[in-house]
Parts: sequence; structure tokens; C-alpha cells
Amino acid sequence: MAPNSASASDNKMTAEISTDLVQINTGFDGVNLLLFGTTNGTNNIIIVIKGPLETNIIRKKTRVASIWVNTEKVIIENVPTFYAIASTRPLNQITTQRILKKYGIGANNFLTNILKQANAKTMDISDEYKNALVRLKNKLGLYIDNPIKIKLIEEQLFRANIKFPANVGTGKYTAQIYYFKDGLLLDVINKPILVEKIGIGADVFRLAHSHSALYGIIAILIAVASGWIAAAIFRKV
Amino acid sequence: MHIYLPIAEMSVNIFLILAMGGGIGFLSGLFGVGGGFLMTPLLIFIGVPAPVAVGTEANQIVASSVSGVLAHWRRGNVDFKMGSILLVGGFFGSSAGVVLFKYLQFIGQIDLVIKLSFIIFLGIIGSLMFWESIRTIIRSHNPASRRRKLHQHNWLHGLPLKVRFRKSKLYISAILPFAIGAVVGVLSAIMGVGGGFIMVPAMIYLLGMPTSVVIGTSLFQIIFVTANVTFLQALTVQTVDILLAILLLAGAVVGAQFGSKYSVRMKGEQLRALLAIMVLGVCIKIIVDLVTKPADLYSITPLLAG
Repeated sequence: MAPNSASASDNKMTAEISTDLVQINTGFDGVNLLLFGTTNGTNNIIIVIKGPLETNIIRKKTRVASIWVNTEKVIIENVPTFYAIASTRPLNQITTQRILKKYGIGANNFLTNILKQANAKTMDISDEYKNALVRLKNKLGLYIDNPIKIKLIEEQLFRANIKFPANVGTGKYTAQIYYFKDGLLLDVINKPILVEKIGIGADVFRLAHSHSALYGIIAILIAVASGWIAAAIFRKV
Repeated sequence: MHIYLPIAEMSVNIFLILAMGGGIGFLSGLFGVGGGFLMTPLLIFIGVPAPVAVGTEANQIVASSVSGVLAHWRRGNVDFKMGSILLVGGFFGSSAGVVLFKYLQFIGQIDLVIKLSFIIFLGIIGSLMFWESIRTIIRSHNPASRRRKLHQHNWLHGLPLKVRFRKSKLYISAILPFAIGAVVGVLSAIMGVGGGFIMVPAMIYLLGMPTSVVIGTSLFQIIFVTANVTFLQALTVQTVDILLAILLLAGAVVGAQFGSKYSVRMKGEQLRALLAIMVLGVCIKIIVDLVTKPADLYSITPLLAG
């Protein structure tokens, strides 16, 4: 992805993120990322942030004997855990639908592209499930499909605030900054962002997964001890 | 003030969790039930993933039961002999239940099975307890009422392997408490509850135990069954969130102390009537949820990399 239709040096941009390392500690309640940069002149910017890919099961309920039961399911592979988009203007005013589709910009376009690349079995996933996926992820605050406003300062500077919610998953994220002029893509910058757990929370998580039996025993001992201590304290009261 | 839960992978308000723990803990001490049948749905309601709610709640019930049983033990209200036989059954049952839970989760029907189990058991037990306690209350207001027998005799008393339970003033087959323990064990693993709300009425109506020792004995065996569930869930699916459990139990152990102190001042039939009303309330809520069209017909779950 390195389209360069016009003369090179005029169409360059620079871009930076306030941090490329998001650390989830015990007090973590989401974080605001600031993306900013410069271009050479009048411009339109689209920023896309994608999380690591996962496999999701989408289940559908239907009415069976007057109660609502999960009856159908679809497995969708390579779904980004997180997807956020920001732009200077509404997407259709920046470029054509064809180009948006080509680069997979917008959660639905991205999903369609991903499904095309995946194997044949995920190809024929109907729109209802794709829409449900985007809607449900959106409700969780993990898909921001309605573009966040990118602010322009004196035409050449741009900045955007993108919120990572508290339930954001760990892993390698990428921020893609697209530079459009007159509907044409001039430049793209990719910036990696790493989301990781640190501190006691991370230790607890690691222990739970690497030494599950020990973790279970510790959990029980803590529970027994606190129950006992509480009873002892209250006996004296 | 927010805190990030490492296993649930979400941020929650500390005070909300403490308050939930305290409120449910109070009821737990009052009625001798673990409170899981209220806490597990409540945790899911605030956004905790269902498997984490179940695993963590089991862990928390261990603590509130330890705290609760000590208060009853000091008053001599625990039948350890009966409790031991119940918990041996409970061990087998809950181990099988954890395996069944994993399977139901795999085929996507765990939510439905949880809800249907709640409806069936809460419905039956709630109704039975409600009628019985109302009848007792009416009879106690009638001066002409005669004293009841300790318990009724039926075919269950003809089973072999009879054991004398001095504390419970019973001479019955050990098969009976073992079977009850096993059945409740399966349910407690699947429903993410301690099972006290099933165990307590089963002890009163099936075994014929005196109400005074029922609560302490139930709490005693719940400790071991939920400890088993906690261990197996931590081992197989890593869904026990220690931090969430600590917050819940910090509230719950305090609440449980007040609850069990309060329970001494109340009459058995009043306690049972109150518990019955709560049980029926939760039951009706679940039925309504199942028959009304959900806001979103679709649901999403990440497929955990195996």
C-alpha cells in the first residue's frame, strides 16, 4: 500500500501518536490517544486504528415454544478486536466508495475485505451477521464506525483524539493515517501501538494461565482466610 | 473509583462491587444460602462475562460460607456428620457439573440451561416453601394448634445403610444425603451458585432435619463444594477473577455477619416465607426475560484459542 500518483515530495505527511504503548494497570479506565501530524496543504485525513484479530461466534436467537433460544450460529474469523475511524470530513466527501472499499476503510468495508481474504466458508456470511457483529462491537465501545472528527489547525496541522475504552484487549494495534487530496490517496503512514497488561493485574493473569492449579488453590485459601478473619473480627464486636 | 479486573478484563467501580457483596452477603447470612443465585445474575447484568461470573462467584461463596458457618458453629448449629456425607456427594456432583458446563458452553446453550434450571428449581422450591411457611404462620396464630411431629416418615426411611445423626435427631440411610449432595453439586456447578437455596429445603423437607441445624450444616458443605468448583474452573477455563472475588467477599463477609446475627431474632417460618418470596421473585424475572423478545437477537462470543 504505497500509492503515489502525484510528484513525491509535495505529498508527504508526518504523523505521530502521543504514545505507542498502552499499559493496562489496576487503575486502568481507558485511555485517550492523541494522533497528530502535518501535511503540505489543503488536505483530508482518515485515521483507522485496528486491534489484533480474533475469531468470533455470532449466535442468533429464534422463538422456540414461546421462549427465545440460540438456534443459529456463524463463526467469523479474523475479526479485529478493536476498530476506530476518524476523519476530517464525512468519508463520502473525501473519496469515492470504490477507494474506501479497496483499502477497507470503514468497519463494514474492512470486514468485507477481511472475509474475502479468508477461506471460502466465511465468504458467504450474510449481511445480517456482519451487521450484527459491527452493531454488537459498537455497543461494547470497541467499534467506532461513525468517524471521530479530526481537527485541522491552519490547514497543515491535524489532530485527533481516539478513546481506547476500559475493556480494550491486549495485543498489537496499528494506526493507519491516510492522506487524501482531491479524492486521491497520496500517502499512508502506519504506526504500531502495543496494548499490554502490567503490574499486579498482569501477574494475576499470568499466574491464572501458566499455573492454573496453584492459582485455584490460592483463590480458595484467600477466600477461607478472609472468611475466617471477618468472623473473628465480628465476634469481638 | 475504578479498578481493572485482570481476568474479567474490564474496569468496574469498586464501591458498586462492595455494595453488591455487602447486600448479598447480608441475605446469605440471614437465610444460610450462598447468595449465588442472586449474585451470579447480578454480575452478568453489570457486564462481567458469564463464565467469569460463575467461577468467581463460586470462589466468593467459599469465603462467605466460611464466615457464616463459624457463627453457626459457635452456637452448635452444624451437623458435621450429615454435612460430611452431603459434601462427599457434592464433590462427585460438582465435578461432573463442571464438565457438563464446559460442554454446554461449547454448544452455545449454557445460558438457556442456566435459566431453565433456575426457573424449574426456584419455581418448585419457592412455591413449596411459601405455602409451608404461610401454613405454619397461620397455625401458630391459632391457639388450638397441636405440636407437630419432628418429621414425617415415608419410604425414604426404608433405605439401607442407616446412620444415626445425633445433632439432627435422625436415623436415616446415608444414601439419601449423598444423593442430595450429588444432585445439588451438579446444579451448583452449572448454575454458578452454592446451592443453598436447593439444599436448605431439601434438608428440611426430604431429610426432615430440624431448621436450627439446617443453615449451619448447609453452609458447612457449601464451603467444600464451591471450593471444588473454584478449583476446577480455575484449572480448566481460567475464569476465576481473584481481584473481583476479594472485592465481593470484602463486602459479603461483613454483610453475612450482620445477616446471621439478625437471623437469630427471626422465626424459622418467617425466614422461610421471606426466602420463598425472594426465590419466586428471581424465578419470575427469569421467565419474563426468556419469553420477551430480546433487544438484540444476536450475541457475540470470542472463540477462545485452545
